Amino acid sequence: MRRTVFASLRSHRVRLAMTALAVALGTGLMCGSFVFTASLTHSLDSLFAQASAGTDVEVRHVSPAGALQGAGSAAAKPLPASVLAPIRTLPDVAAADGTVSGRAVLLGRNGSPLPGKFVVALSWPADAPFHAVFTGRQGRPPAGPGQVMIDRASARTGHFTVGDHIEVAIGGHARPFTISGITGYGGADSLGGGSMAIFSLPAAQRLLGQPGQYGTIAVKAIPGVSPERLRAEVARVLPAGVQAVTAASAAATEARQLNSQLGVLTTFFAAFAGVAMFVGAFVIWNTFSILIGQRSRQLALLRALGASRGQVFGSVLAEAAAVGIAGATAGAVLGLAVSRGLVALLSAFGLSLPAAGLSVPLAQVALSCGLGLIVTVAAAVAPAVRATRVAPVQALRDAAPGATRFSGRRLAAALAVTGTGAALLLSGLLIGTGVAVTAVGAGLCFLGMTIAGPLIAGPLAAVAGAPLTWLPAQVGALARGNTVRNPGRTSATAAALMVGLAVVTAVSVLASSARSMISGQVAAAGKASFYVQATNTDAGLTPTLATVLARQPGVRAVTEVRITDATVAGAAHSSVDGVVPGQIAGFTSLGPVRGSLSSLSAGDLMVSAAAARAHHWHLGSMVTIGFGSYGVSRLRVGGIFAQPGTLSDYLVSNATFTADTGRRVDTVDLVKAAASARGPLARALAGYPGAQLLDQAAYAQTRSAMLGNLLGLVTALLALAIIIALLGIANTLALSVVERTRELGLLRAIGMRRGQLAQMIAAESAIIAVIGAALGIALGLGLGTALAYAVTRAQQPTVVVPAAQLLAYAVVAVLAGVVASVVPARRAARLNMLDAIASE
Amino acid sequence: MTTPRAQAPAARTERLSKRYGDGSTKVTALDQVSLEIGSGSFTAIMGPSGSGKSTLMHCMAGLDRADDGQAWIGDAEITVLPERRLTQLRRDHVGFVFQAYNLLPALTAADNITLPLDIAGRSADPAWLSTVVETVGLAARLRHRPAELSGGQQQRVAIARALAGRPEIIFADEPTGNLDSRAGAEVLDLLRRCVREFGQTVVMVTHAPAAACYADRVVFLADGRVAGQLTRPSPQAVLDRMATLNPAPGSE
Repeated sequence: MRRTVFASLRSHRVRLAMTALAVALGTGLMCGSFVFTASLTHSLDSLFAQASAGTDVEVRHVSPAGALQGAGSAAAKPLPASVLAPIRTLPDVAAADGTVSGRAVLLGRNGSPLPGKFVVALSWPADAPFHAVFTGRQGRPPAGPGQVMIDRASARTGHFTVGDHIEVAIGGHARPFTISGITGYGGADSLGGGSMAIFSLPAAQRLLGQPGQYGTIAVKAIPGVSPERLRAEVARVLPAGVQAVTAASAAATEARQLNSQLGVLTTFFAAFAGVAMFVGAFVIWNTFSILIGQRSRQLALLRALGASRGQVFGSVLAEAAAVGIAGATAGAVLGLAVSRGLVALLSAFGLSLPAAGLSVPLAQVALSCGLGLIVTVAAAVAPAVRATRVAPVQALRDAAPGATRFSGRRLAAALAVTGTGAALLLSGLLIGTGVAVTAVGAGLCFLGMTIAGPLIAGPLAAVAGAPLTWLPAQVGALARGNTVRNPGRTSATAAALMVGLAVVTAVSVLASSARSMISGQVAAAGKASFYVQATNTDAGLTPTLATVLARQPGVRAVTEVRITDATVAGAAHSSVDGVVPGQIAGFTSLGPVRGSLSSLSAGDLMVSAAAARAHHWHLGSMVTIGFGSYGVSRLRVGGIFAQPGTLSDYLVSNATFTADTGRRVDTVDLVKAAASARGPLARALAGYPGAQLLDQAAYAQTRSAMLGNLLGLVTALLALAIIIALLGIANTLALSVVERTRELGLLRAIGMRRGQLAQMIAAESAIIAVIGAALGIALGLGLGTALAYAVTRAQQPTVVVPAAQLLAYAVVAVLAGVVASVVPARRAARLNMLDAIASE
Repeated sequence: MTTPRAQAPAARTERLSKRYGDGSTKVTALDQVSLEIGSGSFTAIMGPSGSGKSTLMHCMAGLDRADDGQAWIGDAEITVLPERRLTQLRRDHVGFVFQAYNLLPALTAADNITLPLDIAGRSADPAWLSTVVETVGLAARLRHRPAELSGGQQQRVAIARALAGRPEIIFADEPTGNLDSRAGAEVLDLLRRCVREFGQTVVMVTHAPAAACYADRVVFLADGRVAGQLTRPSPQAVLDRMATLNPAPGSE
């Protein structure tokens, strides 16, 4: 039997190579996401290790356990200057320096921000041991209020040299500086891809609003003293609430914290790799089914010659295993390229990460490859079983493809599986039985549709092919006949495309619904005419901007809103807004309020009715909020408001906000003004390059921009699944061209031109793609509606179908289907007519 | 319905040659064959296996390219026609009947019959079509698909398909090879009626003497050369002639 396996692999090598490619793409995406994460972890570790080079112990405020720092979250709570002196007097301390850090924006010569991921504002350390990390310096360290040192990468992109003037915006307000020096960081030209603006300590303290305070104190031991011993020594002279940690463990902790957030990405990518493999499984199953069908005579001959069922089964599985091994191995190699692609993809969608060296986690790569192999072999089991059912006598008969009859059992099975899937899906989404239940439900829905496929593919193909029948030379009618004739194959080929498009559609419906909900909320509640927003949430807007705006002609009122990322009652990445309690109701309608707005000033919290309902809070409940590493606050629910509108579910007064987060900058200023105020406002913002002027619609759009990015990212990842499905279409068509050699030869003999034959194959592909797209979009609409309802129902149940977008997906899918037919169609057109007529 | 035809031959070859392979494996399939097929005649081409009879038919019908010599269908010299024109010529002026019927399984009998016209974008003459359908005796089976028809019925559909476009000439390649003797006789009788009643030109390749006797003329081929002919052949005369061509009877 081994020889027949090899012979079969050889004779179908192109088909099997295409199948292996489908395996490779799925495996590659999975490997790639693991390599990506490992490389990222590695580069973060080395980045943080670099940052702490030269430092043995760090002194900082005690941060709450497990505090996460998201974008716009609170900075570390500053240390009073008095902490430093006792440390400096310790016998084992060689040097100790207080530093502050924050965010800034570097402006290019044209006044707009330099491209870059982020800009860290730092103070220049006083002592030499801490200068080691600033490598390859030119010029001098910053001294005095007007000087700044910038990183070499920014100097290069902005064409700056030592002695030039540069504008740096902190809190949205641009100020002029002279470049005293340019520096690298560790071995690189920038800080892990971010820029640096380094000021003298007093200047940095003043600019960042921390006069007489330090963010952290770095301590260097004298030779021969271990960091651990120094840590213990330093800890003894620290006041309560301040801690000493070794630099190594601080770096490790920070790297771990950042990494745990990025772990979400791995899960995200792995989910898409799962979809890709699921689609790949369809392609494999279909390819093997067709190959078995075509070989039934040969298999029957083997059986007639005495091969057992087990041997036939084994030979098919061995073939699948060979394909799986080839595909998975190629996938592992592909994974390396994919990991690079993911970095590029993420930065294209606005999430920049430090440049990562390549790091390959062998165990996880092996796991992905193993999974690819298992999926391949598992997908070939059903065709292999079918192969064992070929009766020996079929060797002697002409094997005509059996027509699919209507089967009540199939219909019942399809309904049962789809029904169970829908029930699980809805229970997962609406009752909250978990993500796993939802995913299994969605999987069952796909499976149910696949089972029903052969029953509905015939009529669907007839409908989808109807418009093609006007094509000349009977091309469309023949194509339609071919797809209707073998509904099992048509539906299996279309199924792969269906899965990919269903997921894309569901995500689109979810995103457009959420977007519409947000802009609806902004429109319904917003009473402000303009929004002045920080372009960089971390950098923020200086509070003085609000007074500047209020002075402009036509402006009636201005209020400041501050936004931070926080952990509310255990839920990470919740937004908490700081507002001016007496003013805010004039700018956005909060709906009926229980409790009083003025109570906010007493260090209380206002929550939305939806949040209160979800957490069973009432007036007077205590809520625990973690503000990053700054600290944990317990706030009393002093009010419950009906509609969040443009704000988040949690409101505190700006005084409470600043006390609890240390952030003194605003995120957005709401402006009530006449329309004529636009000009003066825009002019007033000229000196504040970190601020942008938005009207209500544009503001709603920026609030939902994240969703757009997410949608783009998801679509890009799912494109891979769709490419796999198209490979499947190409494969099926190529196999059916071989199968129909005689028919195609006859058509050529009686006068069909090569081009017309190619058109016919393309039309078949288009029909299959239309079926896949139609089923996928239908299924995706169902999934997306359920998802959108589940996600938006807490605030304002919204389901919006992005019809134009879905239509575009369908058109692209069909065009891609036609493209997929190019190779098989050429092959059909090039068939030697005489061979075709003579072929048995 | 009889159509008076011009005296010009329906098809003609002039020193037509075809070789396969090269070097030591070189085989001369056709060796300077010159032949004329009279319009409205029924010609059988006979010969032992490997005599080149199928190759001759393929080259005459424009399915295959000859290496040397010339071939015409009507006035068109097919040996110099580009691929696209040749396809068009086959479509409009040649009909085919194959041993394995070669019907499209997805199409009904009716659709199979009109397929060449549909491909050409020509509309069928309904009167002619009903004449054809009546002649082949398939009026009751037009809605059936090939899988639902017997071998003889399928071959009759194939003949109707060849007739539908009123081609200059019909080539039939072993049309009875897959049929039992009764169905075979029906098919041969049908081909002869096409010639008699419609003035259709038919060229049939066969190795069965009984089949050849339905033709007006039998052309014998051996080793790629024309090895004589018989007009109004009897089975015995054909058998005798074949015996002289066939050094090892029964090798067929």
